[in-house]
Amino acid sequence: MNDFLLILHDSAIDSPFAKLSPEEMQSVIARYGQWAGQMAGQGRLKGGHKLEDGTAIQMSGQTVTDGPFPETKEVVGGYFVISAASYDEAVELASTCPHIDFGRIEVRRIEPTM
Amino acid sequence: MSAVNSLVDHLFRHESGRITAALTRALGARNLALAEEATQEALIRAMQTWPFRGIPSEPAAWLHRAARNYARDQLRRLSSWQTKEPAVQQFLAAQGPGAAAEPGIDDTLAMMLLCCHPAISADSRAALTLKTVSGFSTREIASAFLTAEETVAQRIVRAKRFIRDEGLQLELPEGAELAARIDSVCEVLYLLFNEGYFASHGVDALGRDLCEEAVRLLQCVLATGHTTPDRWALAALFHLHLARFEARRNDGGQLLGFDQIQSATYDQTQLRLADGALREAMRAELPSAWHVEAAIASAHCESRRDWRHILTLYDALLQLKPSPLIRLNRAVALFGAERRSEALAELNALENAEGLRDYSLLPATQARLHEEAGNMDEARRAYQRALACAMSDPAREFIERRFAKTIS
Repeated sequence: MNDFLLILHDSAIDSPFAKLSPEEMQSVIARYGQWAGQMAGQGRLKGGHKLEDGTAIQMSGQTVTDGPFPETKEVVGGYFVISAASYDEAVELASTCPHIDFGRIEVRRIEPTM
Repeated sequence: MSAVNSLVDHLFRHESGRITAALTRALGARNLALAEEATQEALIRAMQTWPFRGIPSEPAAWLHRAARNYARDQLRRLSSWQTKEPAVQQFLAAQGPGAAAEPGIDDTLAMMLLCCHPAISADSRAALTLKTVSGFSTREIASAFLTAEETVAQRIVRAKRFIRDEGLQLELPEGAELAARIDSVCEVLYLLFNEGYFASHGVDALGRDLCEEAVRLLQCVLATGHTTPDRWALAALFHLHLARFEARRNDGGQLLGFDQIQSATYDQTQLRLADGALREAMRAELPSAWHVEAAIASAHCESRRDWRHILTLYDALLQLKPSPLIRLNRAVALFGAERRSEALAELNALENAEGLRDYSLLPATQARLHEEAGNMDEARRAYQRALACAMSDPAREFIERRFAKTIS
């Protein structure tokens, strides 16, 4: 088993969430909850957090750039860590996450420590 | 990360109305748009946060707090006239948990009074109430009313502009004025219920939602203590209709004809609620139209329909509320009471009535009665006329099924 990082990207402009009715929003939350519950039930869910909106500072060398960056069309909304037997399985699991209906999921294997 | 705990059904829809009402109460009706925006932002915030950290232990309070914080931030950003109002300053000064009153039933009542204000055009009231008090989206309202989404959106925009321009207040007046305003609310609830019950035939869940929303709002009115026998009669009418709601279709979701509905399948809980409401309604000195309509709905719930009795009730109803739609229903009772030619003549006469043009129920009723009377040519023609009208999918499917029978 390996751990995989699922990075949930949201559209920074025109969030598809904004167009939903309260009833639809509630059903979306229920879908996420169901998915996370399923992962937890299989002992796969290792963690996950929402990242705070707004400030995103980027640093390289001596340069510090203060976000949010108007030129970026996407922001990372949050992430999950799940365990899977293979990359393929991780992708398979990520494809059942409701987030793919609203944004993009990046799947990365966390390199195991030797 | 908490385990999956689920939310109460319709929590977002109901809370969005409550939060908007509480914020509007605090900030004044001229800040209705800000209150709605804050509510929407709180819901979106929940959507972005809860998937990661799980549902908070008190989701309603969480949403309310998030909306209040958003409104406060927005107001602080504005340094204009908006923040100079005493109500807004008081709102900004209040800090911490418990600083603002939790959303209360009076807020919701006041919001209903505003949305159903007699000065707002009649066709806007229902849409505005559903949007603002009940948390329906314009798309959901349009679909429940079988109208274009754009039309609904326009009605809501117009109504809100009117509220702002005329300086209408979110308030609870007193005495006779309050009674009259609540009656205006009840009229809108009656309309909402009928839309849900007849227009969509409740096959997509939305029709049922609309009916249950009308019941919930009426219960809210009654719970504030502003009860009258007439309002109880309206409650009884709602529950009696709801008792037959599911019985109107078969297991496959198809609509059943009048004569196929089985009284054994009526919802007993709704019948009990209707009984309780009827007992209160009986205190009236004079029966209202809602009393008579409840009596008719009750007569339809009997295992053996007494058409003569139903006809008498329709005669009384027509006296109280002359309308072509009631004449149409009365014609069915006439037919049931074996006065068939009178019934068919009445339906013919209604073809020119204002408000029934392009209304599918008139030709559909003509077709059904002609079919019953054995006039198959007439029946076929009437079914064709019915199919040319706008109607919900299940209703269309029902008519097409009956039409096919007249051909074979």
